[in-house]
Amino acid sequence: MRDKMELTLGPILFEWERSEVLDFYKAALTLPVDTVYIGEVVCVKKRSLTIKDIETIGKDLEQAGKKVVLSTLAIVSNEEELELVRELSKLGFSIEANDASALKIAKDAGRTIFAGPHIKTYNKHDAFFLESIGVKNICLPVELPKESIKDIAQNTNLKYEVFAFGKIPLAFSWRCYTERTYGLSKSECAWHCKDHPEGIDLRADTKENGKKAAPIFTINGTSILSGKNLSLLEFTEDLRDTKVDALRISPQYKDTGEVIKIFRDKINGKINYKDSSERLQALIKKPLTNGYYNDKAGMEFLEINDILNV
Amino acid sequence: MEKAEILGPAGNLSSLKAAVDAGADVVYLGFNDSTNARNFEGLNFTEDDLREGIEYLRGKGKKFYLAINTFPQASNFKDWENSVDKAVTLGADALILANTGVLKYASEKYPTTRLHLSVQASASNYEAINFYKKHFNIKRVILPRVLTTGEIRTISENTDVELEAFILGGLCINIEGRCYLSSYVTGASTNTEGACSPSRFVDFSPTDGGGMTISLNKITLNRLSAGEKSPYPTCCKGRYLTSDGELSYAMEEPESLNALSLIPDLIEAGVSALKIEGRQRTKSYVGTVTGILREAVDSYYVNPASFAVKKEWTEKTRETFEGTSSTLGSYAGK
Repeated sequence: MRDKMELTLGPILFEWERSEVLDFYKAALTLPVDTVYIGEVVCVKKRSLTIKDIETIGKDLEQAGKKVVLSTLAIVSNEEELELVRELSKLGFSIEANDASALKIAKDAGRTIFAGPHIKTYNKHDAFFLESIGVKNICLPVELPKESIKDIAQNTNLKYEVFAFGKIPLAFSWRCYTERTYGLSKSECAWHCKDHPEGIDLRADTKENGKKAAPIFTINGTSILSGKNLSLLEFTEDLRDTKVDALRISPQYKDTGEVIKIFRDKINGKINYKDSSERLQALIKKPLTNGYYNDKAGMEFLEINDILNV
Repeated sequence: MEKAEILGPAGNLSSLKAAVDAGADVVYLGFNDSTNARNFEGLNFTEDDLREGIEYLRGKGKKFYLAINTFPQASNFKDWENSVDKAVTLGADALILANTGVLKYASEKYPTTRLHLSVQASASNYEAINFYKKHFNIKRVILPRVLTTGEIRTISENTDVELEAFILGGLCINIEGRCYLSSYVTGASTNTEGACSPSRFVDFSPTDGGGMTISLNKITLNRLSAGEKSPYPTCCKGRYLTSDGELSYAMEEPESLNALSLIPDLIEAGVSALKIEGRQRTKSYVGTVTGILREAVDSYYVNPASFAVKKEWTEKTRETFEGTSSTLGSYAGK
């Protein structure tokens, strides 16, 4: 009998005010998650937290019984960015590598290594390789369909995590898209991202039933996220059967704690798929996606009745 | 001083010949399947085509590199192994690989074959590059288009892996290999299928007044007025509405990379190979831009200090850009 599906709180991809970030992690102390990722994936120029803050938050979370992992940048292109990875690797927590540089730096620093969603684990041979260099846990790329997840997870002995809720990180650039909307470049960073705690919606120039289209993408600093939230809430049992060990809830500006509780209740069997989806829909009030898992376009949403015999 | 190598793209036999005739040192290409990152309909090489191409380029003393640079999944890993085997049998001067599973296979089975790390592997710093060297003995890396020339210099000072950089052609604004915009909208993944925004999802609808609406899997990417041009429709080059209702090229203007003016900077930063993007483009594009790059690079070596971009190169390059403007991308600053 395998352990119950774990829940993890992913790294905050957005930039929020310092007090908001501190409050968010204070609340996380009592949330029903097993692991909390801190650190920085998107941009070296974010300023809400210092390295010292990250260390303090990490220790507090460990005290509260959480596993703590520090996530690292998805693009590392210069010494300043390498230095951030090195600084995080010195703190003593496990490291989630999102670039090959972090795989090396974390190993040299003697840390436990997690391969993040931006390390391209597309097949079991990738997983064998990562295992051979000491990786213990893999968060799979967001676009993998169920069949690929299954083949990797069932043929290797690592722990696997999938991105299960939140706006999906789809692309990373050298350009700051947020500053671009203000006519500025990344090197002219004026910290506008903190004014957009949920990112900036991008909509196609079209109308759906006479209304403006739902957002297709979200600008978030140097990254592009999906316009809609991903949710694999309906698939928690299916994912467990697929041999996935943990589901990642990616922090959103609002209601993240409530989302976690719904996922936890669903995993614990307190509510069924129908009630849990209704609770989630009532909370989010916006269209969701689950296309990637079902081998469709990532933006699509498939009704569970069409997929599983439930 | 050994001259920087010039790499011309080829999606078919006539482009291969055009690249060779215009002065490319190397032609890079792929098989006609999803094992390469320019897997478009009607493009790329069957083994027979390739044999003919090899004969042609060998006759002129040129090399070829084979791109097997996509990411296999569960059901089809064997296809990538077969492509590696085929490429080695055909005598490729280097294999351009991205996936660690495929790199491991190739480095163990063919330890003397030269391996280059594809841009799709997203290795944008010396720690990552040295990591791939340690594990797979790569000899060269194709640098993602996210770096300044200063950052390239830092990489060069900290690795002995050769550096190859894009200099002309279409431009990815997001780091290669970590961009899922195409699969989010269409389900076709650039990483696994080898094609960004495949044509089967693209629709061009004429509008009243001679304009055009362009959509990708029913998502409107652009509305062109009469006479307005646009590059091939990918998500990053679409026009979107932001919250304030403004319609703009939120990610990237329709623009193409022309870094001819930075040839001295790139070479002096440690780049030893200059690559032209465009295996999906016509032989006339390949011939034109390869010829321009040949002339530019040769003129640099005649007198590096007085290198200057000729007006004629700029004009001829612009004509190949499908109506888009030119940019230095990240090279000159972020």
